[in-house]
Amino acid sequence: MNTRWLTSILVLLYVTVPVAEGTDVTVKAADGFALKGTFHPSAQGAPGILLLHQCNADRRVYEHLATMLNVAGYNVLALDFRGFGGSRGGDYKNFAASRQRILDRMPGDVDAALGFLTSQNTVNNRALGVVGGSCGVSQAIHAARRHPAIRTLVLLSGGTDAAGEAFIKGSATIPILGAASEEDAEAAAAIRRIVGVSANRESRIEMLKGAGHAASMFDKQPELQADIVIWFRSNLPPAGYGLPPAIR
Amino acid sequence: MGTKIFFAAVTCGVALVLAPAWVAVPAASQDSARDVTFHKDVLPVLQRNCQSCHRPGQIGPFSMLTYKDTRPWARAIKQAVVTRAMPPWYANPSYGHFNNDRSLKRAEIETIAGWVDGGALEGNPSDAPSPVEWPAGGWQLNPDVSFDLPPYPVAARGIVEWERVAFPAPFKEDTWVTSVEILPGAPAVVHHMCFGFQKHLETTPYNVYQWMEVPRDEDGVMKNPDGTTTGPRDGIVLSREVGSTEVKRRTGRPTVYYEGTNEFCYLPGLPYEDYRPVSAGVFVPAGSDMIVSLHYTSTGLATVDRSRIGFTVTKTPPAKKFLPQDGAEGENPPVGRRQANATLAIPPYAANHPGPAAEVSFLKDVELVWFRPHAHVRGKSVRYTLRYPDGREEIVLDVPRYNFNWQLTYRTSLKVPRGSTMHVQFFYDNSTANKYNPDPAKWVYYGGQSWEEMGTPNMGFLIDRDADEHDVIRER
Repeated sequence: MNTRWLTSILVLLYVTVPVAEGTDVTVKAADGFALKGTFHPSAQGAPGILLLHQCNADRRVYEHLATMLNVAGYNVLALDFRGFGGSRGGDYKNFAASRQRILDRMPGDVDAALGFLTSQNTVNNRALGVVGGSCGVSQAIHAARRHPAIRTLVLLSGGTDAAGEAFIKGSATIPILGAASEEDAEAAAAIRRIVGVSANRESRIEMLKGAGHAASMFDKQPELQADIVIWFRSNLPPAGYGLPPAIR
Repeated sequence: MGTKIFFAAVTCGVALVLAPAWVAVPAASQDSARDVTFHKDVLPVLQRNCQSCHRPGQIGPFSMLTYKDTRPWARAIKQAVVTRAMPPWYANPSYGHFNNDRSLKRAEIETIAGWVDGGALEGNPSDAPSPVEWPAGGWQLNPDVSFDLPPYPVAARGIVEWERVAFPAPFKEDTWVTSVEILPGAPAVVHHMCFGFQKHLETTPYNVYQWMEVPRDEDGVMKNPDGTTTGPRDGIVLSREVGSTEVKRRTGRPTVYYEGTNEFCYLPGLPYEDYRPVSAGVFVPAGSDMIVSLHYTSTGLATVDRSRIGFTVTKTPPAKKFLPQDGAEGENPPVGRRQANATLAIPPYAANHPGPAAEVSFLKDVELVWFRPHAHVRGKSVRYTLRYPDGREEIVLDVPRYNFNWQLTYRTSLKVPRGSTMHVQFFYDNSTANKYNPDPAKWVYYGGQSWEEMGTPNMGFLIDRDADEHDVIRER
């Protein structure tokens, strides 16, 4: 893993309110903004998974998925982007009012979250996965572009830009699970396109019907969460020979 | 009273790790799904085939003990069984017969698919079979004797060579070991853990890890691959006492080594070895040592492994004794492998490269009871072909999609007449299509680390209890 991006980001953890299914944490972004998240540590060393929510919700949409992934052996961090959920404050009280500034800050905030995740002593910082919903899709793809430790992506109801698409086209080693709902036509088309250009032969798509948008699909299709857990078990093994050796 | 679990009758393995399948079974129709319920129809299938791994503390990512546990995963379970990704089983059904075949019967797959298609109904709990009485403590077997290996710290980074360490065997009297289970404490870092028993030698120190220095380049590749791993040969011997961090270095030969073959192993996906169903065992004389071969792999996170070994034992001599065949030439006479491993050189981006074949000659009549082909991340397929003395050839195991995450043992009962030979051929995928390939641009050579390759045609045999185990097979 490239350590420069890690050391360049100030990441501080403040354990605040323990909750039933994880611990609320604060991740300090590069500009000092306090991002809130929920961290589920694994019982023993394991890969880490970052959950990036859609822009009409916050990290709570991943509460159940985070627990399922954690039970399946993973460290999980669900992040509130600034302007959402617990990450509202200062110039970022809501998304509508600060849309472009929030979007501009997202890549750095994702890096901060990954920095937090990989600094935890139960996280194998060489084996990471990201789930992105809607506006989080492109963030997830670009995070994988910046961080080679990200080995697989789960993308829900969203698209990416030309640079993201070019990265997917050239990334044979990153399998992608895409999911969307048919009637969510634009998002469905975007996911089809991403999975379609993926250079990894195991990338696949789950096209649902009447399920809604991004993580909201879990309400009507709760088993999509199980499918995501199984996807990670297949493509980001927590044990066995699937973890890359750390020679240096 | 709950159902008792008997060793080989229960297959381990519906840990939902998806894998390619060559036989897809169509989902059941809505009509056939109507009356399928969890308690009446599905739970018996899960008990027989899935719960050994899908219960708390086991490798499966979720529990299948109850309806509440199972229901959220119903669609994923259907997907896994219909595509035959689960349970993990990779033998081509066209060849051989295996008595631990984990694959579900067509009717069982249709039951699960029908249950899911019908809404994954719970049904009446009174229809459910008695719960299985699973062994406590995370075991698959109920051990009579257990042994805790000392905690082993694995650094976050670096290369850990194969090490050996000796302990007094945990038996005070002559003992027949009839099954063994090795529970890795930190499966993420345990590449293998094998051991065998031998008479104590005065020169064998207890509680000292020993390993040979292996010259490697900056990428961790062995500089002079000679087709062997860490046999008892002259070189730089490194050692460290259990509990100490001080590494001592000397020139010479290791004093912790094993003259036989590893009788029992843990490998990812290999749950245990059990010889009770075939009335066999391994004799351990009183005063024997247990020589353990350890292979850890650093994965980026400092870890302490606390592994345990469990045994079932008997004082009554079984009818047969078990004789393993593995190891490299010169390491484990008299059944050391002869295979031109030093010639293994997989070119960059090669998608289907044949490795050097192994030829095993049988000098006496034997009963072959298992195959356990072993390769690393680039292993793609393997085939065992038996040539009988009359010239007839028979494919006895074909694994067209080798999965290194599931180092399965394929149990059989095959009478091999004297004069037969076994031809074993591995193929390797060093292309970008192999998602576990760490670097398709590199040449890959023989070696014990997972970024190097092997093609070990492990097999297990039974011979009469009183037969001479020497000169049973020979490899060339």
